Amino acid sequence: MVRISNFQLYCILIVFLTPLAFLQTPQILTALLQQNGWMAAVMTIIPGYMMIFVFNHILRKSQNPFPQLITEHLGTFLGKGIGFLYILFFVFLTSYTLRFFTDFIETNVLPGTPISIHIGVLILALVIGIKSGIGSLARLHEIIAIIGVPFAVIMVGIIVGQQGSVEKLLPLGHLDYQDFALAIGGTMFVVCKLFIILTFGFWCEDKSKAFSIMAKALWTYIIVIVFTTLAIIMTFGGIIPSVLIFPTFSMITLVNIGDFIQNIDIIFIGVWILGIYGVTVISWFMACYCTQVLLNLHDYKFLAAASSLVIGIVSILISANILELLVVTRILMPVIQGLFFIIIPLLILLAILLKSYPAGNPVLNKQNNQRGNTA
Amino acid sequence: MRYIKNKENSSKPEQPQEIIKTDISSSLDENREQLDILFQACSDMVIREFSFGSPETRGLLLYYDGLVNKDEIEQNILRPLLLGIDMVEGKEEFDQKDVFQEAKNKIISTAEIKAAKTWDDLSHHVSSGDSVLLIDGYADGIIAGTRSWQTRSIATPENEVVIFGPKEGFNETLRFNTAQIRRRLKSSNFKIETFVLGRITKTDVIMCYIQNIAPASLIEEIKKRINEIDIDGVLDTNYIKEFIIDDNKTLFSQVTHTERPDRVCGHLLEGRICIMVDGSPMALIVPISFSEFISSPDDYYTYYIPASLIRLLRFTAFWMSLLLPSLYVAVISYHHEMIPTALLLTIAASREGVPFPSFVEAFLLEAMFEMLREAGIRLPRAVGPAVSIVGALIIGDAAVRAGLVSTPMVVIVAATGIASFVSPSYNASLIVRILRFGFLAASAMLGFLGIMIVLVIMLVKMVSMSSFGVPYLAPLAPLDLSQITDIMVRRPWFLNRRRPYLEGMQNQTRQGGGKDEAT
Amino acid sequence: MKQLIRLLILSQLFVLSGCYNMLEINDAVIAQNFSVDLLKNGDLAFYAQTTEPVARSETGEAQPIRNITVMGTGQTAAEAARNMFLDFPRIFLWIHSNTMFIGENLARNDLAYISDFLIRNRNTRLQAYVFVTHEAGVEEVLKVLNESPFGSCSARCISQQVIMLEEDLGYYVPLQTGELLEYMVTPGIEPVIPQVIIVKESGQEKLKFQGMAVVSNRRVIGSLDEIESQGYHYLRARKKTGGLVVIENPMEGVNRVSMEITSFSSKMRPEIRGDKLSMKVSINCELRYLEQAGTGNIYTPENQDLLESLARVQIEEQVKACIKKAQLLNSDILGWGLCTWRYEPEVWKEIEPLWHEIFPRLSSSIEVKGVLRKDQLAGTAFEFK
Repeated sequence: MVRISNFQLYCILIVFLTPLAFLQTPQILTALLQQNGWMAAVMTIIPGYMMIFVFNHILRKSQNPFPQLITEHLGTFLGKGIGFLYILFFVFLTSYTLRFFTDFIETNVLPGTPISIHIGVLILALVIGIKSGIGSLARLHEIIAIIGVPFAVIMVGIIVGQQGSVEKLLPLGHLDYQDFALAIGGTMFVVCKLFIILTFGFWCEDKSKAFSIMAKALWTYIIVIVFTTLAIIMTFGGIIPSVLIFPTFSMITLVNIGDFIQNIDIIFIGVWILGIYGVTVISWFMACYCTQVLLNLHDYKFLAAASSLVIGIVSILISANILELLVVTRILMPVIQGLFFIIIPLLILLAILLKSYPAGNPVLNKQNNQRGNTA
Repeated sequence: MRYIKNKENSSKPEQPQEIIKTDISSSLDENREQLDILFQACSDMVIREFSFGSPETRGLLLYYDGLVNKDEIEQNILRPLLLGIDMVEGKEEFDQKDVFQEAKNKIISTAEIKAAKTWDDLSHHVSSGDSVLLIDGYADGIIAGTRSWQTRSIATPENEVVIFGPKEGFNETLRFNTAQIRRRLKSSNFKIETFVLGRITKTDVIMCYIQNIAPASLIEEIKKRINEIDIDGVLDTNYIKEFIIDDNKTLFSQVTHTERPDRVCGHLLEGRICIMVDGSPMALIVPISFSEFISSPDDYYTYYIPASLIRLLRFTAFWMSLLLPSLYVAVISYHHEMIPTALLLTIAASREGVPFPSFVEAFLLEAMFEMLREAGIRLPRAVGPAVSIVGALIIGDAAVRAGLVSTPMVVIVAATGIASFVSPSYNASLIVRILRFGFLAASAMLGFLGIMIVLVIMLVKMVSMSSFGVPYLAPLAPLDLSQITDIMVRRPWFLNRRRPYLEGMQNQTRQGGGKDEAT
Repeated sequence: MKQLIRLLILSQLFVLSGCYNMLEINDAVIAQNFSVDLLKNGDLAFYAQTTEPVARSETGEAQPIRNITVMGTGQTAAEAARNMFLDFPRIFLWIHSNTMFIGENLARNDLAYISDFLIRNRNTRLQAYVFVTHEAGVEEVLKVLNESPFGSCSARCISQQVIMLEEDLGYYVPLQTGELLEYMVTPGIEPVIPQVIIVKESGQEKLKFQGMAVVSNRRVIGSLDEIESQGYHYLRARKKTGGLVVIENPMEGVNRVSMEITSFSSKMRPEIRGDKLSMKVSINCELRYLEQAGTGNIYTPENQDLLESLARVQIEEQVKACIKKAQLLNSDILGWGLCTWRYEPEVWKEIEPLWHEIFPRLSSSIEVKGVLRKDQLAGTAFEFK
């Protein structure tokens, strides 16, 4: 069985949560709450911890990784059915991420290159990634997280230092509570991506530490988003970001170091590609892994090449233009992610709470005993 | 049927490949016949027949001319047998004794001596420079260690130059090389295991390691992989390398080559294993991670602060040599905004009238540079530098004057060339040189985006590789905070308390508490 | 075979990508400036100033360079920009243009003509310095600019110049496109744009900064003169440094004294007393004694208070002049509305619809503190024989 370290698991979670949100979430927050956008990100800690409790409880009470655990708790029929839905969902998520990325590149960097070229090139790299196996991907995510998170924070820090004005954060409060709730929802639908721990948690060195790993990932995510949202507001004020499609990117374009290093947005995009690659490869891996488990296949790696055509076509067909893609981003994705990452896990939790389980998890107990003996 | 079988059994083999599989006969005449077949058309083979003792016993000495020390044969084999035998023992006594044992144990005075029973064994030793004495009436040959040949003296390795530290390098004689390592590792835990590989070359291959430090599982794995090699000849360590590496469909080297005994010792002390081949000065070190390609032995012989700065410089040079031309092409063709306006104006002015797209320009110049580099290596030393100068200065200058290439591109290619020379490992520099063209093509295709996609693929390949179970990008991925500091910079010795971890390593302690390794 | 197919696909990707967005630098020219004006027929004129790339001579000497202005017209900014190719063979790299002139005609008509173009266009950045032409069209301004000294980057020199003016003289406050848009869409604040005119000196035309154009509801409605713009500088400077105080006849024997403002801070806060809203403006300056004209010696410890108070009075007058002009033009260039929103949001919600009526009559109190901290090489004045 694959073994990944706790740190690798943390990196996988961070990379799965942050890169897309780095561009999307501050825009959603400032559009709804203007100068108070960052407050919603801070408040997400509370529902975020609730989701962590949910995932952790499911993890502790399960003996098999997702998607087997659905069958374990909801029965074979429901388990298989929901499992297949998850395959479709992860394929859609992969295609959406790919499409979002290519539309971003189309808008900002290479407007003349057809999206099919971008998608083709990325799919090639992604297939190579999935074929290398989850052990390699875990190591890759370490590198992505080690490079990406500090880079993002440094970029944002430079901007705040150069352009930021604390006054632009005023007045504090005076916000519409409905918008505030929506903004928390906008941040929350990213946090619920911690769901993948239900698979990866079983492969990590120490499953009992899943809670703290998720908590660390949540805090990192919140810090990055709060910091970025604050920087955007301090740079552009509360109104301009709501007009911009990618305010984070527009902010990064303003970086100027010593009047020589300027317009380094492409460097930022370069590092961001690493993150996007990380997100896409994980969601694609999940699609392949779910397929392997549900169809009782011997391996998931060969599914990457087989499903690449589907993913490529879906990502092209997802929307006709960026306006439609923004609708998908702001309305459809939160709903779908909410269903698969929040509602269904809550149903599983309910099933766990209603069923009677023997005291303690046999697997965990066994692990603990072994640890005790070796100590 | 029975008759035929007996006839077959009693018939003497007449082909060399049949003879080699048989045992030496007790009849010297028969042996002589076999030898004539076995070594026919070997003009450097010397077969000296003689008689010695009383009653006269016939003997036959054979060796390859040029591989032996003739003085030693004369002084330690022939002279004692022909002249000194009576002085050793009384005549009567000699008659009654086993001539073979007498000659082996009392008469022949070479330092190394042993017996051979088969033609195969005999052939192997003779080919290795030993002399073989066959005595009539005995089905064994006496092998006397008389190896001596002209060899390169110990010289400074040209490919791994250091400012401080030892200057000695390996040469082509295996035993001299092992002696150089042994001289530095005065411990009985330092082990050298020998294998003979190559059906024809019968090359001595050694594997050395320090017991109690090198993981036992790793030693067994390497032994297994070496033993599985079946090839007609082994002329260099690279023959072995391609058989034993984990992944042979990759550009990245999974072993380190070195010509320096001190470097080998450094690696052995970190629990790695060294493989050497007779006839090659290159030692193979396994397992390694990619970071090895950026460190130089000099780092550890220089005070840690300048050494760390130089290592950072080397990191910069590594990335420069890999990416500089492609970044330039990406920036000049796709991302003009990144260049400050004044600089862009200068570049634009210098590119006015240049007929090639910047990618073609970069590709041609890079290719030309690589050719010059190869020409510089292959050409005789007296001509090599001249070719480089003609190529670099005259062709470069003429190309700029003719408006074929722009000045900034020449600067970029030259800077890339210099950066690639900074790499302490020829292997790493070779990989970088090849990858550079891939990055260049990608940058022409999609600009910086293309570069990043190739970089991602490269990273995926690198993280998925391992060298004998050690992840190739360790200690970065998987992250090992205790070792990563010794990669980016050179950690001072007083902080280097532990060895880099290898799976199954028994003793990781380097300073304090590691008494068990002292033997 | 499998490898061959892979190789074929890869090579296809390489070829198919077609380098769609590849643009060789020698197929393009670098626009150092882009400018917009409104023509009499209602069309927009789009201008770009570029420098002809000239290689250095073989000995490395720089060759004389030539600035070119290219114009295109159209119904929208985008159309006008593209119509430039009707008589110009190369593509412009807009991203390096760091100055933007807005023609007076357009500025007085509606800045919304270009606001959307600026925010949406990926080829321009929100960091170009904006200027409004005064009593001249953009074409004339660019013509003068093409012939000005330091011509290789003449448009860039203009932005350098306005930065220097702010930091050394405290006259004008540079404005970048991003700030222009921000002030145009943020309630409670209006932009003020440095203004350039063409002057004729010794038969030669020159470009000169003169005042700052005041915008209200997306159009220029008037301008601040130099004194008023100095006052504006104290209230809304980007860099809290710069400014010159020249005091006439401070004492007998001293005709003039100059002091430099090395650093300052300013604060504007709404004050509510009863139902009445007023603004409290406080400025803290640090001064450096620069020079004196005359035979007396004013730079003594006893006279420090006198010098500081005279400087304070002058700064206060400049600030008052600025406030007066802003109220006269009914343009909240000082951002008092924004300030009220930030510090008294409840009050702002009530008064926002009536702000254009309240602002001209809003009272303010100004408090200036000035401390003489630094001097130059001489500790005392000459005692002439």
